[in-house]
Amino acid sequence: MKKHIMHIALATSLILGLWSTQALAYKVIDVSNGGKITGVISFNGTPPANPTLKMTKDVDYCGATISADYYVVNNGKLQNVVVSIENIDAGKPYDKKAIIPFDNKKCMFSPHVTTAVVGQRLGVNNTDPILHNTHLYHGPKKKTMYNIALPLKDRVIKKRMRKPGIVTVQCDAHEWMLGYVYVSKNPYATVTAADGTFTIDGIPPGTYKVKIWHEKLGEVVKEVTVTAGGTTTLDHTFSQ
Amino acid sequence: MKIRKHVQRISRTALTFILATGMSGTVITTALAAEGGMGADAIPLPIELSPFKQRIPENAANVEAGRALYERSCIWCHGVNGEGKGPVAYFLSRDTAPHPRDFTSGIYKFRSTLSGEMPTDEDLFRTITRGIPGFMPGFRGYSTEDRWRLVYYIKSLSPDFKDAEPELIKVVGTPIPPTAASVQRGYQVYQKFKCWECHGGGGAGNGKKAGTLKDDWGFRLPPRDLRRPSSFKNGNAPADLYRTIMAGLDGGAMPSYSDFFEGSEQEVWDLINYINSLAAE
Ligand code: HEC
Ligand code: HEC
Repeated sequence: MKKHIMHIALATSLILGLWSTQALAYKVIDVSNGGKITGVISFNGTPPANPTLKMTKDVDYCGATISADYYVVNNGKLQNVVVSIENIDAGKPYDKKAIIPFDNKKCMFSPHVTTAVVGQRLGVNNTDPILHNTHLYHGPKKKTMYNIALPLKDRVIKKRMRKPGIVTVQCDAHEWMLGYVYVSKNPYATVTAADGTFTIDGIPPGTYKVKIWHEKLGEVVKEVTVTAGGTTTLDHTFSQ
Repeated sequence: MKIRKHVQRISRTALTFILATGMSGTVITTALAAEGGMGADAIPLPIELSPFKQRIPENAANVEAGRALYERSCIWCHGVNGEGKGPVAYFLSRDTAPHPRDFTSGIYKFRSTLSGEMPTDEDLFRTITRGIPGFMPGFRGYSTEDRWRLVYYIKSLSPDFKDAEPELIKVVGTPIPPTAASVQRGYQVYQKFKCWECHGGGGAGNGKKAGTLKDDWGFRLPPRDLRRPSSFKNGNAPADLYRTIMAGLDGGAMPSYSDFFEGSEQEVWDLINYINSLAAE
């Protein structure tokens, strides 16, 4: 029985090993006549009310309460939705050295949701004059990735995003703080703007699986075909 | 299967075992003191010169031998599959941290590596040797070889150890004499880096952020009372404190400060002298 389990464990770790090497396999190629995916993500109906967060610490600086930013809906358009093309192994170049800004601001994370490509670094800043600690957790099992103290104002700490997936960001010192970084395997991921729109460009022609993810509303995968130099529209409407 | 039944049957005996091996912090501390204090096993600096380097090969036979040792000594707390749910886990703490570690989680507190990295083999060896004051007995009673076997078995329980090449914290300088001037400088660092927001102005563990801290498993975890060095899980020698402050204790709320001390690592030694000056035992 035990032996059997060991074998399964061995096989699983081999598969996991294989999978993680593949995840790093993004290749930069020349995309001269790439296509575009653009669209609007909406919310149908009245969005659930954001809870009021009680700020129990540093009230003098951050205030006593604030509305959570889980659902940001303007005229039915949904902000902070991650849109990403999942299965592109080769495509446009991107800045590997880019530092993705992530701020601790008035006891909230800003932006609330962002994306980074595997290997890029998150530049965590603290623009508050109080102590924060930025605690990043990887994946659905929320394994600690980093837990860094940010005692001083305006000093950017750069941390590399090594594995693809959703990274949940919290602050132990302020338990209401919550943010997300979607770490993608390729540079074809973005977050919807305040008007719910997004654009992904420089896509080699082909048919792809596009993931649409919202922290509370879950994820949807849609198949999209991109033509050379063309623009494909991809809209999606979430509802409760 | 047989083992699981066995464990259930003797879970009561296990409690006795725990009491007998001296689970109370005082007993453990006394035992350590008898061996020359916690400092005796502190990693000398630089870390590369760790005395634990003489080791046996990490192969299937030693992992298997480690498993047998595990089933004799660790299963009670860490559970049949290393998931941290042994029969005794319950008696240690129910709603508060720490619970015995789930080795499948790949999360480790006592490291000489950067936050988010796996521990080194030497880190695991040290933890197993010393134990954790108040929570886990030390296993000096096992030979060096057997302790390495335990290390290898523990590593086999998490895929995160596979191909892990953990990056070490940077060690700059060595402990400095605790002069009044150094303690005063350390006090300034404690203020500037806001340790007090969690640990409190006098180090009693009662800072303004102390009340809501939790560990990665959602259990309440108060900041350590810095006036009680014998309760420090990661050791209380200067080299140990250096590790704690720079690496943080992943899985708990104690964050890593290595980024903020970059370029001014000397200040950590002052901070350590300040922490030691708080000792009230
Ligand atoms: C009395 C219960 C108990 C026994 C017996 C016990 N442990 Fe533990 N162990 C714990 C607890 C509790 C923790 C978690 C401490 C914490 O998170 O603060 C722990 C944590 C650990 C860790 C993680 C350290 C880190 O860096 O985070 C290791 C490794 C470990 N134990 C190894 C062992 C081995 C090997 C044995 C048997 C030889 C053993 N333990 C026996 C209770 C026990
Ligand atoms: C966000 C809150 C927080 C901050 C800030 C913080 N600590 Fe801690 N610290 C903790 C917690 C929680 C523990 C207990 C961790 C555990 O048992 O896993 C701890 C434990 C410790 C320990 C004992 C480690 C051991 O071996 O048991 C020391 C020493 C320590 N901290 C020193 C410091 C110093 C020095 C600073 C400032 C440079 C600091 N801490 C900042 C929360 C904090």
